[in-house]
Amino acid sequence: MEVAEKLAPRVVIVTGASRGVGRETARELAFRGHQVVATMRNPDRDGPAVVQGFESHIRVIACDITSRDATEAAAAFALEQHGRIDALVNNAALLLIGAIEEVVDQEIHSLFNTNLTGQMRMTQAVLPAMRRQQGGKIITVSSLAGRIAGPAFGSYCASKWALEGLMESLRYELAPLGIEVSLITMGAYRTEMQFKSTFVTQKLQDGTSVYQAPCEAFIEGEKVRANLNPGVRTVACNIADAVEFPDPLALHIPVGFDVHRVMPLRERMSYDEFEAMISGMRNEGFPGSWFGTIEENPPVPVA
Amino acid sequence: MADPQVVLITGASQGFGAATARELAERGHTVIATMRNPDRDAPALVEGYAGRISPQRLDVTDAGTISAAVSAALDQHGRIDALINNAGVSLFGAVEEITDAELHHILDVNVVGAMRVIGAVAPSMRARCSGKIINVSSVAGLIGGPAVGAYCASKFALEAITEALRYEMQPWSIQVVAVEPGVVNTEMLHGNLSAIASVREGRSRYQGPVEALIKGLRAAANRRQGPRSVASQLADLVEIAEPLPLRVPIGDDAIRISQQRGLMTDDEWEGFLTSLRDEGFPGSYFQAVEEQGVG
Repeated sequence: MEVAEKLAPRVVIVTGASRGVGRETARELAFRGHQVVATMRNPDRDGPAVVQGFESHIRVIACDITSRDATEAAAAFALEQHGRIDALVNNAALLLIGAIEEVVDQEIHSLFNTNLTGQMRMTQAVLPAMRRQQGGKIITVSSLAGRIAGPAFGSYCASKWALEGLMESLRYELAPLGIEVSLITMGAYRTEMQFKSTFVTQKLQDGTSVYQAPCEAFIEGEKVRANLNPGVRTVACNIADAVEFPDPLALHIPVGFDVHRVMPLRERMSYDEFEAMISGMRNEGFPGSWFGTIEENPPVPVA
Repeated sequence: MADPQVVLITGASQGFGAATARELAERGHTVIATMRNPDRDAPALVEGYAGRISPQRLDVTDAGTISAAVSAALDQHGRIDALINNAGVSLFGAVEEITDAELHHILDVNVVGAMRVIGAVAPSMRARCSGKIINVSSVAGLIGGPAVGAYCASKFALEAITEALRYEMQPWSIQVVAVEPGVVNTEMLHGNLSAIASVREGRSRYQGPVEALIKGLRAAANRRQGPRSVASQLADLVEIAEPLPLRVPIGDDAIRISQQRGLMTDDEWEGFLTSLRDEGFPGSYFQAVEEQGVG
């Protein structure tokens, strides 16, 4: 009996590969024999640790996804090295903490410029090649924060929800071209985002926020929880699986026990029930730390 | 009957905004109707409602005009009971061809614009531990679709802002809600429809399907209801004494979509949507792809 040919090595671009999910995904793909172009802002500093042990499978290139020239150069580099691009893993992202009332224009524009426009730029850069190939996969790392929203990080949620809307639309546009678009709904993992890619609003930095106490509790809770969470290996494996799957990708790929727990509730509960459940939480991390702090320090009316 | 409320509404020159301003005025409320160009647009709006609708210049992309309009409203009326974030723009075109500037502009109006006005109005609401913030989203905030990716991104983001803001404003008893109208016969779909440059210049790889979609949406809108029920439900939300829900879909299409999307898996939903071949959205797009191909 003929056995089907083993999965051919894929050429994959992974953005934000300096650390966290990006680095782990690049290394997992390399481990499985694929060719990876790992993009990051500072390859001199961060590249060696990503490539180590996989010198023949990971190429690193400097790319800041806020620059159109850089995203186009990264796509050109992948084509020059490998002649095609089978998959793009849009991973680079920033986290912003702060109440919606106090986020200033510059902060939200900078957040969206990476988390939404950045992913759009990188995606646009690989499409001409995928169009020629009549195939390809655009896999975007989103999160539970792209499906539900909560206090203290509403603008981050907004950037992820926007990304969901953009990618869901793109999925319909590219289906006739044989290009697949899929979103990873990632739950709580110990990534380095909580420690290294988190920004807080100027108001919080200045200590003048009306929401100072609950926001600080939120940040502390995130750090405590991040340390307790598993690392990102499972996320990387799921992304690598999505690159390899021979069958059509679903729009959403849930990864994480909390996603599996929360999304069915979200889908089956009324919003009132869901909101009451969330508001009633008093766990140490998100979102209990916020509500607990509010309960202990009831806000005073301040104009 | 509800006590007279002071309501500030953005984008009141036409469409939902104008209809809602008039509806609120008819119900006896005081309306601060904001718009970019009151000299041009206010006279038609205010006619018959003098004294109950006060037009104000406000451009949601310009923080100076926002703080001026909000201060003027607070000086004159002492409070703002409800804010209706209605100002918004549309954008048609395939995601592949949207430029950075085009995406940033629609976000700056539809998302950051609403956030700016919220930031200006919230302190006075917090001071009184009372108020309502009503964000006019769209069915495009619940589902994505071809040729409207940037618009969906902006409305998805506004939905997230609404949901997060609800939790943040709870301690001050300020209520936050999003409404999702479906296809409604308003000026937005008939005036100078915003399309991305590649479509306007006729060089889009998706030209046929995008044009078919715009044409189909206009044809569908022509046969659909006007903005009066949206205006009436927005006015209800201003008046209702009970807690407001997170989302209020408005129109048969929006109600059906929000229910069905909630009950279907991703695959079922996508299969359903891509099978549509109706004249409007998104059937006209898929039909054009089938007939003409794309890319």
